[in-house]
Amino acid sequence: MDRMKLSGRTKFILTTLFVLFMGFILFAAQENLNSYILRIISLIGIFGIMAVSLNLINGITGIFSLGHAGFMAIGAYVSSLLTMPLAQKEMTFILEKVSFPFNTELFSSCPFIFATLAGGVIAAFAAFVIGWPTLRLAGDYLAITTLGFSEIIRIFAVNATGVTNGAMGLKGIPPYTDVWWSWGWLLITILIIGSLIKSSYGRALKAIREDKTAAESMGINVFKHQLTSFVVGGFFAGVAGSLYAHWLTTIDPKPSTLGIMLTFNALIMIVLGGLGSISGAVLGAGMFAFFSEWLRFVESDINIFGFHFEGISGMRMLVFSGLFIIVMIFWPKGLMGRNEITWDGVYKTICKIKKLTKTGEKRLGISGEREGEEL
Amino acid sequence: MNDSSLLELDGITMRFGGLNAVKDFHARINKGEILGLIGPNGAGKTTVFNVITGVYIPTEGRLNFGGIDITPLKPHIITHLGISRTFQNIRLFQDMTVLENVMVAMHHELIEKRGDSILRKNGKNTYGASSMWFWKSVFKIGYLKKEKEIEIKSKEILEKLGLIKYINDKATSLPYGEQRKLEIARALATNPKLLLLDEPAAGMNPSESRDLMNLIRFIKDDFNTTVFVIEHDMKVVMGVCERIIVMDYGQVIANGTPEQIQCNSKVVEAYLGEEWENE
Amino acid sequence: MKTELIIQNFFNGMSLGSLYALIAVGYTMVYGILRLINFAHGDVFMMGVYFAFYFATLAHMPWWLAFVMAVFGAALLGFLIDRIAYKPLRKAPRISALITAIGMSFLLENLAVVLFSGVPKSFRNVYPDFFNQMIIIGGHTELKRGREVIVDALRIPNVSVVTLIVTAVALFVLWFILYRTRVGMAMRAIAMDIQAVALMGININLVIGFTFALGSALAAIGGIFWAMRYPQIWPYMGFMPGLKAFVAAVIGGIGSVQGAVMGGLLLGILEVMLVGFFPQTAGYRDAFAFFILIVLLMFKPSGMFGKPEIVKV
Repeated sequence: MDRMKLSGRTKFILTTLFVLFMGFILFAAQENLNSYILRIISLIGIFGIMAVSLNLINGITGIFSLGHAGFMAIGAYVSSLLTMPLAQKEMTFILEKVSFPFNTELFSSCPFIFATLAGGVIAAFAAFVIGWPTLRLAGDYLAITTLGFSEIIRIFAVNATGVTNGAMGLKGIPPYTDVWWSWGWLLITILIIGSLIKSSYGRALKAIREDKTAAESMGINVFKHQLTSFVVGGFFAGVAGSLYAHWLTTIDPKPSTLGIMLTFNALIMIVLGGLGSISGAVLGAGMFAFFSEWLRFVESDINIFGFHFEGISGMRMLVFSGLFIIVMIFWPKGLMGRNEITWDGVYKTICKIKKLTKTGEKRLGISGEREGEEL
Repeated sequence: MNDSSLLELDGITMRFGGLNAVKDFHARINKGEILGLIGPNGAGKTTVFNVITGVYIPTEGRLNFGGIDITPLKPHIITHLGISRTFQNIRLFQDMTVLENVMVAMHHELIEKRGDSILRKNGKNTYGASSMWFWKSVFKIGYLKKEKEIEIKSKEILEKLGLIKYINDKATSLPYGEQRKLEIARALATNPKLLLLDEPAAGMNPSESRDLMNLIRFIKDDFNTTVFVIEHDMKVVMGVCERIIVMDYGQVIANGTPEQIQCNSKVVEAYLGEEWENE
Repeated sequence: MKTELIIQNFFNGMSLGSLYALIAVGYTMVYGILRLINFAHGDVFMMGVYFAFYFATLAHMPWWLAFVMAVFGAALLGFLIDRIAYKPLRKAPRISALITAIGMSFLLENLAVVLFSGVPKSFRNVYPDFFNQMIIIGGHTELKRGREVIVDALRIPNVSVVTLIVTAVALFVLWFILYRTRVGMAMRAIAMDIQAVALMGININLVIGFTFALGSALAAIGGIFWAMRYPQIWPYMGFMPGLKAFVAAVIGGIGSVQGAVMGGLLLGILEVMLVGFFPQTAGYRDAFAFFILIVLLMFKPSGMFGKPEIVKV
């Protein structure tokens, strides 16, 4: 049924058109929507990078890592320390003076792109160092050890006051992140990770996920491939962290900001969207951001039949967790499962819809089509 | 080590805690032969396979493959050097398509540098593996040609094994007998000089086993691969193997042609016994 | 002088360690039978403490009754969590169950915030002051600024002693249940081969639910003594102790009850020793648990008492 497949060239043109279309949408959004909604759109981009990078590690390669927040924290701190003006740093660091090299002009007020890349690279290096001993462990031990490393990074951030300003965190981070930076990086993330997955490398990673022993017996160096996946995922987590820091403009080492909560949120995104699917990860990120915001209304005061119910803070997260558990029980595969949204898939769906409406029209005797005409 | 010898197992002993799964196993596998390994359940046959492929490192003894001492090497390197296997319980990559299962078996050709350096040191041909393939794969530079090659070679193998019609189906959707064939196709895709088949006829009906026997002969002739088979189905073993090694309680108790084995009293006693009389 | 410090720290460590052990046992039992890391366990610990708090203050129960009721309450909660959230996912992939456990943890924490408010409360008034008092051994009195003070003495809080006694009793009861009752035998059997046990006609879900209840009860006991030791209670109080207890269970070998106890005690002692002798590292005490974990797993990947997984090919 080769008629159902589009040519490679068509797909390339369609993809380029889609990217341009998205760019146009973002431009229109930036011109017309209020800043609150724009911030949410930027956040979705950041969450998307977070989800796609975690999906590479957990969903594609099958490494159950719970340490993603640690890499994001590294990216956040490294990039912020580089972009903050020196004067701002001297003002913020009240517990202990800023330590070398961040107390120099060279390592201050850096351009955002370099700072973000630096954050990603250092996070990738940390992933290499952490992955080396950890990836030799069996599944559940690996989960708790990666969690442990992420916590160690956070606790280090609390205590190394000269570098991170301790529990007080960094304030006055330049608010560079906007819809272009976040969605631009999201595009790069999807292109690179997508390209990796669609190659021989990606097949090897999936094979490792399916059956490590069989993969090893087919000549795949399981450890090296897992480490590569971990490092690539770590790099983009660092990038996401950098973008997040410049979206929040203040960061601190609390578990809810750059700690375990963040990892759990990312996990929720990829599971909701479908573990093992890039498009699922992006959709999951969108769903997560949307629901977290939409559910704000449950925290507001409610007036029913003249009775005034005061809003309870924390209700939002309560409802969110409840909904999440219900989704997990009934749809454990998530939205996309392991499937991707592809141009071929879209084309097939359009053809099916066309067929169905044509059949409907024939049945109802609606004219306009010559009899016996094939689709 | 003479020229016709492909793999030599020298005094292999495999001890787990207090248990000797394999004891003092000596064997020589010659190029181009179809060698059988039989024995009662628990005799240690799969353990021998696991030692050969590097899943276990033997407690004692050495393995020599074409002049290379492969005893300490890891499974993926041993595969790269030319030994491949199938599993007793089918271990296909379930969520991947038939084609992907076979294509992934060629990945090592691109990437296994250490394996290549071992080949080079021993004067054998290398695959030209390099770590640049990571970057080439991501940025698709000089990559598409290689990918196409892999795809064509994989389709050839699937064609030869009669699996081409399943090419885009998920591996688990295949009928049982075809899944077993797919495992063999995947193992062949790694380009082995020695192929280890672990009970390939398990669960097959007589007509499927006959097809399997033809397939094994076809592998030897068309793919130029030496085959080492563990099997319980005596029709298959006696029909296709040129030579048979018999194991019991972790040790070799007999070694010879099918005719010699059938007459060997130790073998009859340990294993064939009434079973052969019923055949 | 040094000896007193060592003994004091050791005792202190044992006391803290027993709390980790009580919580760790719950983790390891659930993991043993379901291969699930019950992330919500630390939050059951927290709920048990809040139950005790409200039974004592709102319901005006005498403290000992409030504590006992709280333990039962936590057991019931543990049972319900399994029934509602984990049982539907028995056949689902491992990661789904795990993520649900994480979601359940969130749910409990946020439920606590909504019901009890996020503002920390004091547990001090719930229990008699007896627990705060210290046993003082040895030492001598000195005159400092016109007042008589005791110096160079061994100071052991009563609550530590009671903790050790209660923990020992609780673990004995646990041992009895596991090795001398039918339910316990079923629990141990499920940990080895869950399908075979189901085929024996045993109601798996009831046994699993009982395991959750038992583990939660022990966690609640640990929680109450924790709250007597650190009297500030708040909805996120279960997070770090739960995590460290899980690390203790892994150190001991996940799935092994003796391992969980040993791991908990070891972790408690090492942690207190570290901070006792190197006070400047106090900020890092939580990270220390993970550090021990990582070092141990590098040399003994299955933990102290764990069975190494032999790859069946």
